Amino acid sequence: MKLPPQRIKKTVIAVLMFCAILPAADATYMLAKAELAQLLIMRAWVSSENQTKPWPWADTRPVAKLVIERLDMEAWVLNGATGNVLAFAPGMASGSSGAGNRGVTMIGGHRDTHFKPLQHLEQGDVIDLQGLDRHWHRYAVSSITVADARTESITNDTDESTLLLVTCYPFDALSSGGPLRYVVEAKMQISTEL
Amino acid sequence: MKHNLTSIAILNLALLILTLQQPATGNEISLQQVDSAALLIPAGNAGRFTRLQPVSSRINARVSGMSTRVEVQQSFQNDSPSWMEAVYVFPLPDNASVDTLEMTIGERTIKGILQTRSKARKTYQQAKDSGKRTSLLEQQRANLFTSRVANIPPGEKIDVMIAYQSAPRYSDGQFNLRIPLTMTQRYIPGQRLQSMPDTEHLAYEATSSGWARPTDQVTDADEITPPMAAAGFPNTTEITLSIDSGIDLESVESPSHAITSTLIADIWKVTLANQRTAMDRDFELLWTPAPGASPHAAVFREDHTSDSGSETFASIMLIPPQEFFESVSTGREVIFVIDTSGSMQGNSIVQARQALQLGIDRLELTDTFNVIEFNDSPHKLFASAQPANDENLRYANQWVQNLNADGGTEISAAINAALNQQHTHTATQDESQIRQIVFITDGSVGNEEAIFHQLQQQLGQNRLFTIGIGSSPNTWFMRKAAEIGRGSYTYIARDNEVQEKMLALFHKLESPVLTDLSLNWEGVSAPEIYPRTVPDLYAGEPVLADARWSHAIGAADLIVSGYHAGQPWSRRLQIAASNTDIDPVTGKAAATPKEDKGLYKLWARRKIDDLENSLLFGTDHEQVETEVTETALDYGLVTRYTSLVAVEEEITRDTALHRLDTAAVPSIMPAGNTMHFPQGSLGIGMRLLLTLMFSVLAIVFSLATLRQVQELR
Repeated sequence: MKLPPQRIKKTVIAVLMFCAILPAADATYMLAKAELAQLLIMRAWVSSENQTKPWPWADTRPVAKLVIERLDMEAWVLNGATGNVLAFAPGMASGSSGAGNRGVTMIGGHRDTHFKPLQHLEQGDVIDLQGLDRHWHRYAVSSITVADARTESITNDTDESTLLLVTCYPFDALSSGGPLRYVVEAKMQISTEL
Repeated sequence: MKHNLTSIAILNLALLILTLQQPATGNEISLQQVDSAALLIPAGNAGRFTRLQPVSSRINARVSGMSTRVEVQQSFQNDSPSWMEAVYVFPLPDNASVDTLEMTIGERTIKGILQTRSKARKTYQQAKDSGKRTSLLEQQRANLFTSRVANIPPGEKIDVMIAYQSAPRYSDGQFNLRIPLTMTQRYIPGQRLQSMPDTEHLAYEATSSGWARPTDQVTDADEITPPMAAAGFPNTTEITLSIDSGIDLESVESPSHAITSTLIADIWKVTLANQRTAMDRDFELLWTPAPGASPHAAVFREDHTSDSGSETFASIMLIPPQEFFESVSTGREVIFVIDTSGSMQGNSIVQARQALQLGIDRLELTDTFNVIEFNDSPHKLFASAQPANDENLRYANQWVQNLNADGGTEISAAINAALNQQHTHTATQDESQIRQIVFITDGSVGNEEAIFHQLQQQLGQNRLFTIGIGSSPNTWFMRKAAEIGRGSYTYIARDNEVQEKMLALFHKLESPVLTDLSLNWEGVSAPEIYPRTVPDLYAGEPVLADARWSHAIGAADLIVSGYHAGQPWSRRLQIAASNTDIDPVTGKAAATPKEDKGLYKLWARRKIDDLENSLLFGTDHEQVETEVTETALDYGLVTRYTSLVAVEEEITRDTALHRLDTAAVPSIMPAGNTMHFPQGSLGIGMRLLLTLMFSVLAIVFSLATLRQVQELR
């Protein structure tokens, strides 16, 4: 039994179109998830209770708000920097010191969603971080480096309050899972009450 | 022709996918000044990088009775195009008497000689500057050493062999031997110093490569903080051991690594199941005497002849009878202190929580307790210790459940909070009641001495029991803290040990102790003996002592006496004449093996420990330095004030032609204890590109089909 060639070709076209739509839908879903989650997280953040979860089944909670005025960037940060958290929002790596505390506060985010604007950061740029106590802390970018995640890791050694924003590098790489990380280091300048 | 169109499209697709597969690697960052083959880490400021040098190590340990000889060979292979100096900060057991350094270049072996620290530095620096191959071994902390090897030619390697004498520990019916392979990063408190604090640092041309800069509390921070590499860095080691314990063994096992062990002519041979292992956790070996073969007393004796005459050394181990430890005391006050700093993150905090909960669950209604957690600052569960009733226990369990690890390790404030708690007891209770402090931490601090001093000052009627957590805690710190705190140290390596080890500890805490122990000699003059005061004994712990007579002695009797539950207790041991041992099982004199047991080295190390301890009691620093240096030079040991240095006579590097680069050997992050970089992208770009590609392909294919249909018509 042989299928008519016309039929085969139609099938091939259908398969190709399906293959084209699938990743597009996937990407749209990821972007939508990232955008929508921020709204829910914002809602959880403004509610007075610190332990509020952004959605009932969430395994994390918001721990900080990150603002970079010059880049017109505003994001709510969740607890934990694992894949399941970062899909929704930037995440504060466990082991980090809290916002404004002595030591290293490391926040990771995806370079193709929340942390996309980071590529435009420059030395001296101002970053504002609001902690769980609702105090604002102002940091200034002190260095921007590229690190290799295979051989490097972060240690909480410093006396100063240091903020690290970490995302994948290079920004225009197509595939995910590369070993390089774009690391923005910022030192705390001042803390203010609400 | 139409077929060509489709095949071209498919080829294009294939090509695109191939280009996509190329990972985004190091070539994209502009680090022109370094060759891409080198392993690099950023050093301090942006733009400066330190070259990382892997180490390949081989460790051979021989246990004979209560003495262990360990040889650690470190190979530094220079795969870079320039001449190299390797700097390796590495851990050794805290009771090691390090006496040998040998540098091997091809067939030749050059023996290291012992010099004072500053002199050895000068010797090394001069040899390094003049282009001679040279190696230096220095002690930074009791359990932390630095080896430096200079002038490794490009493409060649230099091996150094470091050897030490130590003793296996005996506790709860088992012998154990630990070989540290990596270290937990230390927390460096204090204010950063602007300039180098002492002239010693000037002897180096900025070769220290630690990640921390000196602070007012830890002036050598840069020397004790080697770069840390993530798992996967090629630091590996081979480990072989032989155990000649002199008694029948029931089992030989390692809780840390897979091993194979075979018994050949009364000697157990142990090797790693996988020949080489990553140096990301400490190696531990346990051996258990067969039932009935458990030792109850062992005396080893050795006569040592040197230029200054003949001396006698004795090593004593005595185990109090088990039936002493069967009654249980009640009405204790227990303060649990748990480290919730950043270094405890991951598995460690989980284990710590588990250990803590076990401890809380074991409390009796008559006991009182409190829990203190600390990172940058301590937080108490209750304002003061509370009775262990159901309600309080439930509340405590919940509180502990929610503890997370982050921030610094300010142990000092936590100790203060624990020791200076107000007693909650009513006036009817004994003023002198002992309070037990159970301290759970990885001890990753750099200002150990300040903390010891604080403990010494504030201890009073408290007893400190330290519990080490994590794959490589600062054992020396915790053992010493427990020693000063007159308690004991417990190490928990793996999840499934938490229960067993904690129960053993709590059994200890609940059992009455053997107190006020003293050692008295009959038939000979009193020796110089360490420890000077024998600590209180808990169930399963032996009495250990090392003695020296400045002249050869004959047979002698040792009487160990103390108090058990208010009743006097004593035991007599015999030290036979010249070079004989007491058989650990029968208690009779046995023929001595001829080999050097190195008892004098163990004794000298105990003496040096004792001298360094005396600093805590206010002994003059210079006096201690003089005495330690003297002892170290007499018995050939590496200490804080004496180092081993080996220099090749021949000059290999033409200093006018070739520059010398310095590379640091990183320590591998202890397993389960890293703050890794998070994953940084979702791969949306990739998905959009795939969409684009398939769309183009679908269009091309449709067009081709369309044309084909037209042609057919």
